[in-house]
Parts: sequence; C-alpha cells; structure tokens
Amino acid sequence: MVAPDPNVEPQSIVRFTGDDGAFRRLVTRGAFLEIVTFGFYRFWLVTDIRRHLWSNTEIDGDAPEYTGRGRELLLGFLFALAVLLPVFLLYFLAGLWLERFQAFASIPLYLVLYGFGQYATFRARRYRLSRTIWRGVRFWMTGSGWAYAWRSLLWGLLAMVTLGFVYPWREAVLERYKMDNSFFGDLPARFSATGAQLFGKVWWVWLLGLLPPLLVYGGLVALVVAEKMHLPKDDVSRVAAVIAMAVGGCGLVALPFLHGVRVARQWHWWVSGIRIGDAKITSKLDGAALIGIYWTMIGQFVLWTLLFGVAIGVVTAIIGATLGQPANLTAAMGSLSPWHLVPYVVLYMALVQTLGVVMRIYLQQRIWKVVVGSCALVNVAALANAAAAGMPASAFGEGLADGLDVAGF
Amino acid sequence: MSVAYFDGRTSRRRLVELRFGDGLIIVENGDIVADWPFANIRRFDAPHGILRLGATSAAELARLDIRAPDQAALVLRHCPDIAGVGGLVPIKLGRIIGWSLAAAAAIIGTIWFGVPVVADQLTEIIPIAWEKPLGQAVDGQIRLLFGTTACIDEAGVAALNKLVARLQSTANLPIPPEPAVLLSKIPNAFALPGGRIYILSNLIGDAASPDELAGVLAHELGHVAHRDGVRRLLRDGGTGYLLGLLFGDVSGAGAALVAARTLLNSAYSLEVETAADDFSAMVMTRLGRPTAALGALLHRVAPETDTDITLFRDHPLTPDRERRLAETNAPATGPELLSAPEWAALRVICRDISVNGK
Ligand SMILES: [Zn+2]
Repeated sequence: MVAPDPNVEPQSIVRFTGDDGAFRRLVTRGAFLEIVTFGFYRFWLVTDIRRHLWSNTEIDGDAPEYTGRGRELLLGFLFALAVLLPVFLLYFLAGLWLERFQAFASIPLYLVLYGFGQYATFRARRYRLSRTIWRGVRFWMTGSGWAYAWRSLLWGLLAMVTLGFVYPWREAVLERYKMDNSFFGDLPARFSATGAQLFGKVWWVWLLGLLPPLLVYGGLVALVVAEKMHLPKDDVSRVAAVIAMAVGGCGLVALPFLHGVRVARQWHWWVSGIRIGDAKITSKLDGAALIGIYWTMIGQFVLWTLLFGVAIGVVTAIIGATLGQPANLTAAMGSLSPWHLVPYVVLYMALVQTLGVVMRIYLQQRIWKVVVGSCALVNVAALANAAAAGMPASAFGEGLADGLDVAGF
Repeated sequence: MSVAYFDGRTSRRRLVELRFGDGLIIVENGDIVADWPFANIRRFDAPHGILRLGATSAAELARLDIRAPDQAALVLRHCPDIAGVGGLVPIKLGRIIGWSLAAAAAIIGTIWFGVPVVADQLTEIIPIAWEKPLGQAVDGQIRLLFGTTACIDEAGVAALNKLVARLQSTANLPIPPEPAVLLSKIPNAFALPGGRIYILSNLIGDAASPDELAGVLAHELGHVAHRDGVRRLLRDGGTGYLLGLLFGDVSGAGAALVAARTLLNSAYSLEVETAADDFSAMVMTRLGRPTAALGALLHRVAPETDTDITLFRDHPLTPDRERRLAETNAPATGPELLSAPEWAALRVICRDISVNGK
C-alpha cells in the first residue's frame, strides 16, 4: 500500500470492458435485419449499440446504463415525420416561388433546414443524456434547441466566411451551451475548454488542409490568366501552375487523413473540458491511436468498394454473356429486362450495409474504446452524493435528426 | 463478495448484503434498507459478469449490482418475472419484421398506385393559371442545363410563330403555347408546364421538311393540351418526397425503390407519348398534312440521342409508335405549312442569338 500523494488529485479509473467480437456480431446482425426490415430495424440497432457501449464502460468501478428503447425512437421518428411533412411541403412551395425569380435562388432556404438539423442535434443529445443512468441517478439537460440552432447557424456562417478560422471557437460555444445545460442529478455540468485551446491544437491541420484546394484553385486561375495574356505554351508560369495543380491534387487525397488528425485532437480537447460538479476528466488520449482507427477505416472502405466493383464487373460480364452479341447499344438496352437490375440492387445494398458495419465498428465502438480508455476521473468524491433529479426527455429530436439525416452528438 | 446498492435517490454507492425472505431483503450495516418482493424484481443492462437488478416497487432507478456468480444465480432462481414489464423486455423480432414489411408494402403501394392517381387528380384541380409559375420554376433549371443561348433571328421567329399558330388553330389548347429555340447540339424538344415549348436547334437542322418539324411541335402541343408537364412534376415530386422522407438514410432500400420508380416512369411515359402522338396525328390530319413525318424525324435523330439516356427517355420512339403514326398517314391534301423562304428562315433562326435573354 502506498500512501496517497497529497499533491496529486485522486484519480479513478475509467475503462471500456466490451469485447470487439461481440460488438462486431451485434452490428453485423443488425445490418442484416436492417435489410430485411427495409431499414426500420435501425431504431433497435441504434439502441442496442448504445446499450452495449454504455454498459461496457466502467467509471470508478460502476457501469452506466442506457435506458432508451427502440420503440421510443420509432415513435419519435413518426412524430418528427408528422412535423417535417408540412415543413418540407412549405419549403418546396417557397422554393418554387423563389425559383420564379432566379433559378436556384432558393438555396438560402437550405439554411432553414440546417437550422432544423441543429435543433434536432441538440434535442437528440438531450434524449441520449436523459437515458443515461449512473449509480441510480439520471443525467439530464435543460436549454432551448432553438437557441442552440441560432448559435450554430450564425457561428457556422462565420466559419464559412473565414474559411474555417473561427471553427474552434464555434465548437467551444456550442459545446459550452450544451454542457452548461447538462446535469448529473442535482450536480450541474459545465464545459471548461476554450476555443483558443482547440485552435492551438488544430491550427496547423487547418492550414495544411487549406493548402491543396488553394493550390488547385490558384493554379487554375494562373492558367486562365496565362491564356488571356496569350503567354507561350511553354512559359514558366504555365508550367508552375500545372505543377501547383498536380501537387494540390495529390494533397486532396491526404485530406481524409488530415481529418483523422483533427478529430483525434478535438476528442482530447473535448473530454478534457468536461466538468461535473467539482469532478473533472483528464485524458491521456494518444492521437496516433485514433488516427490509426481512421486510417484503418478508410483502408477498409477502399478495399470493400474495390471488392464490390469487381463483383459488379463479374455480374455485368455474366449478363453480357447471356445476352449474346446485340447489334448496338439501343438493341442492348432493349433486350434488358427489369430483372437484370436485381443483382445490382442487391450488390449495392450489400455494399451500403457493409460500409455501415465498418463505420459503426470504427467510428463508434473503436473510437469509444480508445477515448474512454484514455480517460480518468479526477475527484470522483464530488459525484458521490448527487441527488436524483431530471426527467427523461422525448425522442422527438432523435426522430427529427433521423428524418433530416443529420449526425451529431 | 460485495453487493453494491444504489437507492435511486442519491448516487451514493452502498455496500450491502442480501437476505432471502418473502422477498429480497437488502441489509446495510445490519439495518434493512429495502425489501423487494421477488415478483417485482427485474433485470437491467450491466457489463459481463455483473447481475444488475431493479424492482418495480422501488424507486425507478434503484439498482443492485451483484458480482458473485453463485449469489447471482441464487437470486435469479427466486425471481419469477425477471424479464417482465418494467424491466428489459426482450424485443419481439418477428413483430418488428412483420410490421416493417407491412409499412414498406404500404409505402410502395402508395408510390406505385396512389401517387399517379393523386397526381392525375391534382392536375385536374390545379388552375391553369398556376401552371405558369410552375413552368417558370422548371424553366430556369432547364435553361441552366441546356444552355441559356436562345435563337432569335427575326424572320426565323416569325416563321416559327406562324407554324405554331397554324397548328394551334386546329387544336383546342388550355393555354397559349410559347415556342422558343435554344442553341444546342442535342436534337430534342420538350414542353414545360405553362405552355413553354423548347426546340433545341439541332432538331431543326435534322428536320427535312416543315411537316417533320410541325409533327414534333404538334406532339409537344399534345403535351401542353394534356398538361403532362404538371402531371409529371407532381408525380416525380410526390414519389421523391415519400422516398426521401422514409428511406433518406437507408440508401440501400431507397435505391431499390428509385430503380423501380424509373421503370414505372418509362412505362408511364410511353403511354403519355402515344397520347401526344395521337394528338399530333389529329392536328396534322386536320391540316391535311402527313402524320408519319414526325416518325421519320424521330427515327432519324434516335441513334444520336441514345447516347444521352435522360433525353432519349423523353421521346422513346418504339416501332409501335412509328407504326401507329404510319397507319393514319395520308398524302398531303392541305396547303404547305410554311413557304420555302419561311422554312429557309426558320432553318437559320440561330443566325441571331441572345445570351441570358439579352
Ligand atoms: Zn413527348
């Protein structure tokens, strides 16, 4: 037994005890059931995934519990549909009205849908949090989804105008709004990380990410200018522009990997900012581990897409062989029957579901495992006597997020 | 082996021992803190190796975490309704699958049978006046797709208007047609809601006589008369709407339905096209001009158009359609629709062009 060092705050272990194989079986089975049920099984699959992740996370020796149910998500979705239907119709009519004046002038209306999506994101977080129980006490959330959507919209516009420069501050503002409205029983939570801290972590990723598109675009502009000035074909400026575009083009390929770096650094920033009462989380998140997950996932994506590409080629060859030698394309099109589409549809659905499984394994379970495993809880005693408070929130936001196809947490 | 008890009122972790009486008796430091009747005990989510219990008669979130396997087994043997209502009720997979199939069938049925019917009904109801804004909305996008260069040579436009006026004089149109020629390499023509008819310039180049062009124009007038543009807009919009809302994020199933929908579209198109052909034949017969000229022109441009699938689909010229047009064909009895100078002017209508309506 070692006497506790009074200078070091007491840390409690947070760890993930789940089994990779069990999760893989869970999502693979879910993917099959999604096909069989035309996608309706997704409500139960999402619930099972969360139950697995929550109950296999151990915080100071006790695992939280996810109490949401698939049926709630289904009802939330149906309810959201009833709200979205007239909204979409109005949106369509308004778009039609604006189109009269100028083609595609209705694009700003996308902002409205974006706002709805952000509202949904906030409400979905509230649903998930209020279904999270630890040591018999509920997490819950107050705050207004619309107030959140406004912040997100305005900061999003600002981020667009500044080519992403204010992105870290936007993330901080949004997370602070969500976290400052969160509670564990009667203990208020807050978010202590700042935009400047995130900027310090990701600024070089941002600059590096801007480089390839700038090179491509700059090269293009230079070429156009050279054309207008009737410079000779082998002029040095033309050669430089082409080289810049080639380098930029290669750089574009690296963007998904840079994205992985950014996400890893942001995760670390995020968990380290969480405060619940006087307790806080420290994280020794190893960026390399997260980036490894991203890269593995991208690799799997490429592999599976190639495999399915080969399968499509084989199917096409077989269909071509059964059709014999048609005189021309029109004749070939004419001799195709709708049944020839079936193998393609099946292959496409299989690919979508396979990629879905890969995404769920890497983006959800593996990242969860690495992030949770890197954390420790400081001053857990502050959480020892929280009084129960808060009510479960409705699944409307989850349904809305589903209907609008927005992701976010 | 320790048992952790959370009373659901605070987050305090209490180490307790269990006794078995009429129910499960929870004892902390020798004091009884809770007594859960066995029939009320339910199981909840916990990591592997932990039995987590709650009770319908206790606080909603009160939990008991039992870690020792033999003790967990003993408790479980006492509880008759461990997976009952109020706990983790196992999901009924068969029911989910059954209802999903029923819901999918209902949606597919609505798209297949309901949407065309509703589109037809709505087309009847929608006032002619509303066609204009609908057409203008589509117009902007068409112009973006096919180019914004309109052909406006004065004599050519006069000839075109004369031709359309002759055709229109025998047809009872709900809305006056507005023909216009767009500069394009694709030989095609189409009618928008609201009476706007676009002829792509290459089609005029491919036409061997005024009769051939008149046949195509009359065919498009047929679409205007039958209000096919609005009907198509409503049907595609309605179908996309249902699909997008319900299967938006499950692209696999959605794609399957889109494929089916495309088939439905072309089947429906053929019917609509044949009706427009009949309209063309009627107009041409009334003017005493040959009806087979339309078929001849479409036949000539078809090999060129089949490289562009979407355009080709707009006017799928099948042997059936061609035969039908030939059946009503008769030698010309009426006067020529355009004089030789007028036809010559129409053929060079793109001598003068306007970009972006300027
Ligand atoms: Zn037609």
